[in-house]
Amino acid sequence: MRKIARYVSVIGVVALAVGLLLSMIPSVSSSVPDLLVILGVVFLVAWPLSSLLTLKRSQARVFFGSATLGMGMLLVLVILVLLNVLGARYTLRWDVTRSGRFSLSQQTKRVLASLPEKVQVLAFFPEGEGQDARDLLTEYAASSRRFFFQFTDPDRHPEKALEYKIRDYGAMVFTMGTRHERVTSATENDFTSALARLMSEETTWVRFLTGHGERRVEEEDKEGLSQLAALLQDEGYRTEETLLLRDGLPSVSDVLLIAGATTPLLPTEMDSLLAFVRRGGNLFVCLEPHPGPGLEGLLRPWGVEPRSDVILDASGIGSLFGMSEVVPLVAHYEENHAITQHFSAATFFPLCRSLSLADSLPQGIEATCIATTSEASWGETGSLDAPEISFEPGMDTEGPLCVLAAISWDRSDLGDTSSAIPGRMVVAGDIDFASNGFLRISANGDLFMNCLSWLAQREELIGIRPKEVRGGAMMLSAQAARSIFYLVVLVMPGAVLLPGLIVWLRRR
Amino acid sequence: MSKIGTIFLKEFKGYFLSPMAYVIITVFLLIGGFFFYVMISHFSMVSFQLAQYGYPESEININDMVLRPFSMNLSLILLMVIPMITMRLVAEERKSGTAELLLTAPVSPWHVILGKFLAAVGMIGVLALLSFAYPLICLLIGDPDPGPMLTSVLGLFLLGSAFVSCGLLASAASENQIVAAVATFGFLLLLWVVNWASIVTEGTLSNVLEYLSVLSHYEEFAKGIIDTKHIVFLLSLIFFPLFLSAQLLAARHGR
Repeated sequence: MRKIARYVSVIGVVALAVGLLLSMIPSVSSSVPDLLVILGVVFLVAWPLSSLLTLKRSQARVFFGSATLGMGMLLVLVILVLLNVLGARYTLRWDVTRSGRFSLSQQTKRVLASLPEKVQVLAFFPEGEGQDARDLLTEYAASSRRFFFQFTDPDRHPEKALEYKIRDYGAMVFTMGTRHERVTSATENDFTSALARLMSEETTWVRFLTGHGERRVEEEDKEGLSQLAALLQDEGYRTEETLLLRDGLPSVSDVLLIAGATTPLLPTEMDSLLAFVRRGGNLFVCLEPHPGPGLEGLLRPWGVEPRSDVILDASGIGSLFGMSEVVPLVAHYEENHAITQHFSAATFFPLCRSLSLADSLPQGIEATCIATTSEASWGETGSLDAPEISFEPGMDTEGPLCVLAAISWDRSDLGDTSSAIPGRMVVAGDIDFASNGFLRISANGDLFMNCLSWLAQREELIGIRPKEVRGGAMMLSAQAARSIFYLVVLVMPGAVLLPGLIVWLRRR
Repeated sequence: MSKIGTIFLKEFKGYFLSPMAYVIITVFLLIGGFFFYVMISHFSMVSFQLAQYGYPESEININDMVLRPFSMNLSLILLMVIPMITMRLVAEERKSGTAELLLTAPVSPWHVILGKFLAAVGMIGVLALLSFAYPLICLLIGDPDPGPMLTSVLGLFLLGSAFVSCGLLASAASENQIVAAVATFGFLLLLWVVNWASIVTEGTLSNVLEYLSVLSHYEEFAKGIIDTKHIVFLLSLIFFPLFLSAQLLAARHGR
């Protein structure tokens, strides 16, 4: 018995180690490692118990016979468990970092304190990644008993990714009741904004302008926008088609989308739209190729001028994705703009017009080109039916060309002091990139959604500034690196080993 | 108190009278030093690359890229060396028969256990103090945040003490030192990875498994966070095995 007891622990450790190792090999059936791990745990738990069985009869009598002792041990365990339950529930927490980088802002604490029900966050990251998100989520969970989070590797659990329609790493889905909010960057501002949106009863409407040959949301062919409408609804937006003359102007908190108008807007409609934009309404204009419906008058005051051309891309990269020259690939994005700051995936803009941004704009208006084509592209002004098409200096515009522009303006600078909400507009030289035929290609859908969430001011609801973290780069010279190596690998262990050797020699 | 002190001094000196302590500290410093050198060199290389491509310095941080992962590595080394520190504490006395002698002296099992525990914790203290050299090097060559450096050492000390307590229980339960060491290692490894199971479980069980993982408690110290929740957990993990060890010792010797 004594011998068996001695080796129980060894068997336990071996079973546990082999089980854990096997669990890392994907081709091995999961039941074998699971069984080994369970066996290992059972043996490891059994070992101290079996050790007790090896006690001599008289010792055992003392050990087991004393009810007081047994009760005492149980009592101590219960007290410790209670202490830990209370300790986990009522915590004091100090962030000793220099900038308090793990401390949440008062705004976030207020939002967390007002959570009406449980919020569960599912973060989709590959194994071992997403440390920033984990740090931040840990702080949220530490501040609220109603906040929980879990990390999931979308490669290991594709069914979860499918359930939440996740196609990229780094997406986090905040769920409260039946409502979901998706966040793609791990900042306190984005997390708290997502919580505020979950709690808010208001829903942002995306209204599709109709009556001028625009693409329709119910059309399911490759030019239609039915998939876009479905994607918007998945993201928590509500969609509706609107006719300005019939329905009037939408609310300024909504987003009005002009999805490729092909006939001109009436002068009264143009005036209404201008008034809508000036009031702080959010406008998303997606253009059709030249000749357009004369939306230039609407865009010009904001510094955007669509050129009368079609972008051609001779780089040949698009052909890798099965695209022709008229489908330029876009892979250059403005890093300093909220829409594209974390965006790097390729997008495609078929039959796209290039946008020209004015050099000087009235005070308060800021127009930024956020996505551009490659240098091998140009804006073709001639007919696309010509037998040979090439770049003609003087006629065509040389690449890289702007395909997507974001404009924001401070309304107080424009003489409107009624609201502090800045006005916003996004102009795309193309609507096809968001149509059924192209929405799911590469990251087109993500780029569209980023534009929309910026327009709907979803990320700006809260305005928590990220904390500054000092202690950036540090470059070692070859000499310094060598010195550190000698110090930590040779000198420090050697300084301890030497007296050890002396002790050993003396003992001999 | 003086009885505990006497046992502590005897045990603590015992470590340094044999080559044991020197070998353990050397192994700790050698592996730790190697990890540190690799990490700091990698960080320097990334810094060079960032500067080359014109990225802002704020993109990287020495605390996040060197000191925090290094603290996690140090705790892993502790997991490996602590069974060597604790395996002989009680098992050796039982094997050589001096346990009887010790317990016939006017000392209680608690005196014995606490004295031995403090001696092993003294060793952890030495390791924790020596491990402070690495952040100090960072302080000389860079601009790390000193807060997480201090909390890391505190966390390492508490974690080491909890590990020692578990090792002491194994040593008290077995008279074979190798079995005590292997069992300690196995149990500590289990405490280390127990939260893996939280991925496949749900609800309370998942939360309990996550809570039982020593890694999740230590991680926060390495970040620069002091949370009473982690202190309560680690102190419990120190106390309960100590309590069991004292009871076991008392039961074996009819106290």
